[in-house]
Amino acid sequence: MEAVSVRGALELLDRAGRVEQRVVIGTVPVRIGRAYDNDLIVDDIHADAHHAEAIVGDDGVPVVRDLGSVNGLRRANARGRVDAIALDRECAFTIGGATMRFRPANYATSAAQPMRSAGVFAHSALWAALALIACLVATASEAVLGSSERFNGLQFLNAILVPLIIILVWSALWSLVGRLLVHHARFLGHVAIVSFGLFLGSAITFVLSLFAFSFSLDTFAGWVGTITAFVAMTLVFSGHLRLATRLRSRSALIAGICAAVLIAGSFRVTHMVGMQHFSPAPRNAVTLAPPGWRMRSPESTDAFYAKTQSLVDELRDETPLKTPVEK
Amino acid sequence: MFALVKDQVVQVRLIDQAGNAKTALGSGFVVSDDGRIISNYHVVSGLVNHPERFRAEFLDQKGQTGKLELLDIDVIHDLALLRAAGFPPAHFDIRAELPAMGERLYSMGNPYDLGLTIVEGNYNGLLQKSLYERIHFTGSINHGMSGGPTLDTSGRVIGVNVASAGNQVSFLVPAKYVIALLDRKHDAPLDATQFNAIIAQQLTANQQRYVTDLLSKDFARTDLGAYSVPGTLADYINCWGRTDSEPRELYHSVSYHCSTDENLFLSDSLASGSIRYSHVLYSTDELSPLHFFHLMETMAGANMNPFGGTEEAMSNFRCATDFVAHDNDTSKVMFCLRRYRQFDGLYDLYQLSLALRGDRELLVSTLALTGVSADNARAFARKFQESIAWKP
Repeated sequence: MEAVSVRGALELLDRAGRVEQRVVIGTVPVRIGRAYDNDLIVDDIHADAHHAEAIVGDDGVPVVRDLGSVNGLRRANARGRVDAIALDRECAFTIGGATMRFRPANYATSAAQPMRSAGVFAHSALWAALALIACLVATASEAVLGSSERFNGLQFLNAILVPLIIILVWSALWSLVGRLLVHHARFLGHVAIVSFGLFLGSAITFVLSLFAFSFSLDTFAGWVGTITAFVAMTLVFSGHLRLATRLRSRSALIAGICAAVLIAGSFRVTHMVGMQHFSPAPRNAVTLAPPGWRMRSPESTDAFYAKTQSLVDELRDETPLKTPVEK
Repeated sequence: MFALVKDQVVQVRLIDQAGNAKTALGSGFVVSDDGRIISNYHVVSGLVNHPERFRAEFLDQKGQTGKLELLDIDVIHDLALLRAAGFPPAHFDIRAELPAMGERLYSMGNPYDLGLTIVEGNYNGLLQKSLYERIHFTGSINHGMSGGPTLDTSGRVIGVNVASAGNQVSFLVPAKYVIALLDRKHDAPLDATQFNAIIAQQLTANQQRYVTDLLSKDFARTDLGAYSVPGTLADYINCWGRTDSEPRELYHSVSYHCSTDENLFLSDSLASGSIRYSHVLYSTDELSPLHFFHLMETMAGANMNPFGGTEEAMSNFRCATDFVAHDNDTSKVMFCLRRYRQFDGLYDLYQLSLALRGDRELLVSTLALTGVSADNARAFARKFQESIAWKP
């Protein structure tokens, strides 16, 4: 065994990118393979018994070298086998189906995180509690506003229990995903995210409906649900993905947008398919709010009824139905 | 008398061509030596709406059947003129003048496919509150007797069985409309397009008659809370009132509903030629304005009855919505129209008007006119809207 001047660590990673084994290179060779006499034992059926070794190359730079293995040595995320890879900087390579990483001894490490204290925990719990309360208040308000009868305590409880259970189950599922992928459940974080998303959804719906009334944009009211679903789902999915996976913020946001586009888009398509069907009554919604919320000046009866001529024109110009061929 | 005329009354059957079985039953009677038969349009409407699907047959008292051809129709009075071959040259005489009040009459037909039946009753005048002229006959007309004749004691036809309100309250089409239909002398069978043109022309003339009459006069008003609203606009429009004040509910309502009692049968799923409107004044002492108007948003669309029809017959509704001001009042108005695909120039109108005045009071007015021209729909809707006023 020979001492080398450039030192570092060889790390065997699992599929989630977590370090499974680590060997500090102090002396060479460091032998890698499936056999039990290796310095780094790779438990992978595609790895040879003696697959590769880290040695000092002719130019004095440490390298990892293929020992004539069946599946060879490959750089991570690159095609084609190579004979050797220099270990002079951070790099990743594969041994059969296993991914390995080399990090030099001078690899910069991040600053130490303070240990999780009661204060930090209280902080995330506080956010979760605030978001949950806001969400349940919004849900209960919707139930109260939608009822023509006086609410009693049992009805309040009924109005908040269902969303509460949905939030808890949904958060538990995301925690499970996080536990599997990044080994952290972060249940309270997920509760905060979904609660905030639902609260935001209620708030957006309320504000957009008032906006539709104020400016007499009743056709726009049909889009309120789609817009709300898109915004809320983008934030909720991005948040969950950020917490439960190793995705960076930007990737999580893009994934969230994609998920929201898919779901909100499918709602919209279903709505449009429904609108194509024949309905024996008008389907248009009329938005209503206290008269004081009206921002748009009213039309005169002259102007309004003159405008209705466009409906006659539209109806006349509609594509006729295909009639069955007469035999 | 039954023995004298029984051979001149037939059962009219609509046969589904695919299944070769009867799908609708009615009655009819012979009115000429060449086998012309009068029945109701609603009995044989399948021949116009789906000529490829149905054919019509008669069944006489000897059990013989034969093909019926549709020659002409009067959808306003629910009459159809058919022709069959092979009848002996005997027919009913038609009496154009109306009977005397209380005169004894006999109605004939095939109720519930039970065979030819004769029902005794009395003439009780013309309906006073009806948009369409009908004789009030106090006798039991039942399902299957539609299109059969009602005779005076001399055996002359004074009317055609058309409808029943149950308990010996029945309605007949006056015989003068049978004479008018025969006078048109349509001899050749027509196709569906030609019949649709006839129906469109009849519906257009009919709506022009009553809408023009209504628009030529000031709308009668009634008070609802502090509002003055269109009331009983004509004798043939029937209005009802109702107050709802449930202790559990946080708002109250006073409603006023009006409609014509009759409408015109066009198909099994579509009627036309009717006027319906309502005013409901909602108020609350306990709800906040936001809560009250949130609830009202749901209530505003809740009282609307579906208009019926199928995709083949009707387009979907298209609506225009905006704030509309008249005098010092502002309302939110939704004006909707749908088009009759088979009858050019005819539309159904639905208008919803929400009078926006107080924070704890809302007047919801609806108007539904079926089978009117676009100009009449617009003019009527506008006059209706302008007749809603706040007068504390």
